[in-house]
Amino acid sequence: MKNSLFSVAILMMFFALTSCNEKAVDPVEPTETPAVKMIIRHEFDGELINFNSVEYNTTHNLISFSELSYFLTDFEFKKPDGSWMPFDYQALIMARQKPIDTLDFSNLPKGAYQGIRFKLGVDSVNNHADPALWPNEHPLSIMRGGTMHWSWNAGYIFCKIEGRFHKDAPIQGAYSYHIGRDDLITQYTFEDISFNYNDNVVLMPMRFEAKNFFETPHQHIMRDSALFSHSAFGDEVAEILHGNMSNLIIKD
Amino acid sequence: MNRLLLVGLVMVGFSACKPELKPVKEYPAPRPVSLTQKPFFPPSVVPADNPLTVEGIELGRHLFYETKLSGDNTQSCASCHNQELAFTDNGRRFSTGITGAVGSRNSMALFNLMWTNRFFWDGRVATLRQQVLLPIEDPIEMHESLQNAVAKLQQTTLYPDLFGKAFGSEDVTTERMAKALEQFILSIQSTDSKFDRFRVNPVLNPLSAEETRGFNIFMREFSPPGSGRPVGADCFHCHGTHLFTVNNFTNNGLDENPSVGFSIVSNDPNDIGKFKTPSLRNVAVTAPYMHDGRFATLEDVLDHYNEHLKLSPTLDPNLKSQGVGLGLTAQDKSDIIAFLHTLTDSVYLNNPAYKSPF
Repeated sequence: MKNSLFSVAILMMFFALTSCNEKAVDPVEPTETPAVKMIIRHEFDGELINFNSVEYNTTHNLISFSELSYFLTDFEFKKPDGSWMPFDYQALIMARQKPIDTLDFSNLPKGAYQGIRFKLGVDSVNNHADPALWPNEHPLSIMRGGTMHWSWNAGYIFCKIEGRFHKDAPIQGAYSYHIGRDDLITQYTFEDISFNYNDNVVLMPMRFEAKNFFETPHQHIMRDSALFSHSAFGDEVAEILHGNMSNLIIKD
Repeated sequence: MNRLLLVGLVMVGFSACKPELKPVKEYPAPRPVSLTQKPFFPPSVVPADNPLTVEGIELGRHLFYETKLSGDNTQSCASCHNQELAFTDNGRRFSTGITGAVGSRNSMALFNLMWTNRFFWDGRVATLRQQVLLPIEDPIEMHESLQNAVAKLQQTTLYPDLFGKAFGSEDVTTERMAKALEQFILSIQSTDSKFDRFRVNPVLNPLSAEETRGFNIFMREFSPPGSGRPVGADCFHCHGTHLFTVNNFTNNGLDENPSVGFSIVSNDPNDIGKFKTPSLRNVAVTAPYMHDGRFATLEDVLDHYNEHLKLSPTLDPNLKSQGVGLGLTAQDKSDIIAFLHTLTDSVYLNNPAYKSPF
């Protein structure tokens, strides 16, 4: 009797003590959650950009990157009937922080798709709306992208690329290209991407080829009058670089 | 004997679940404070584990002005953060601690800190809650151990009750001190300057011609002299948005061999010489300027950007691209300064909610 009482007491104490612990979690086998993801690698001439420390050869300059940031908005997916379905998604890509970034479209309705298109930039309405109205975690909020907004007048900097260059080494200079303005938005359309989204994982590997920003199709030569652009009207540098921007994002 | 042992074991087992602290006095739950969103300002940012309450903010205000937090009971946070000067240190380049030791960084203004990230000029602290305790322990500032500070407060008749009202029990702890100070400082907002009133209703609250011209130069991109474009000082790149800071870390060309700056956090040599970009709200009352207070006046600051930038490897590309300088005239500089004065918020500078409770 005494022994059984002792055993009961030990058991009660054990339960009392273990009841303080968090519930044990049963091990769960990792499962592949259905997802649609676009993976963007930021490269120069096919190599992942190493910010600040590595210099890259353009035709006319030896350059390095200190910042590469841009907005992607107005996503649409092409349905089998040929119509484009808008998908509410905006992204602020900051490649210095994430040279390989992933956009998650997992909320996309299940079904078959035959293409994707989106814009580099911000549409005119949102571009000139009060950026403080966005929730703080939204890509267009000044809390996330304050350095990507021109404050009161001009709206967002659609694409910011900054760094250093050598011109007639060892002279070193800095460049700073801020491309924005309603008419400088860039549309990307990929109709060679098709997939069925059901209970599967769909990956869309893409590449941001920074070399094209400086060279394709227009050769941009850094010299004293072309080291920066803020996309003012009549700014030839902005026009040239914007002309190259349709070649920035490539299907990998 | 065995039965006694058994009962004892069972009691030990059950009592292990009981909380260690038991409030001596019952306190009602603190009253939540909800901040209304001001036009053009982002939504409020408050830590989920430290919501603002009337009682928490009030305790934080007492602590902010409490000299018992210093080693010899002579200095409080407010000793180096004077509300009438946007919580800066009375025009001093560097602050003097209780031992007479002098710091090496200029006392920073305090307002709108819910919309910033990383603290101190070099950003070495990630949260306000971490930041608020460091000057207490710093030997060249308040030079007091947190243990002593807690003990001194616990022994008063005032603080146990204030802690009880704010946190439900009278126990003074370091974490509660930090949370209360965090609440008070997060509650300090500057949103009612002449410029704010102009933005809300420009017809009723217009800027003068001089202020308007200064605003336009401030907000316009730099264009090289002779380009045919209007003059622009490019200030907004770092001091943009309605917060008048984009919360970045920048090398603004102060030295050819700059000191460490944000690189102390990032361990990246590319961040050497980069310091936190302060908001320009209330800048007319926060002299002297820069992380080391080297410029006594706003005129000195504009002269620096206009013609004295020092080249260094990490100089901000937007500044470097200006080459020989901004090319501002004396009138341009005067207009910019006139505009900067419109950012002075006398409501904030005189707000009784931020004043000493003693």
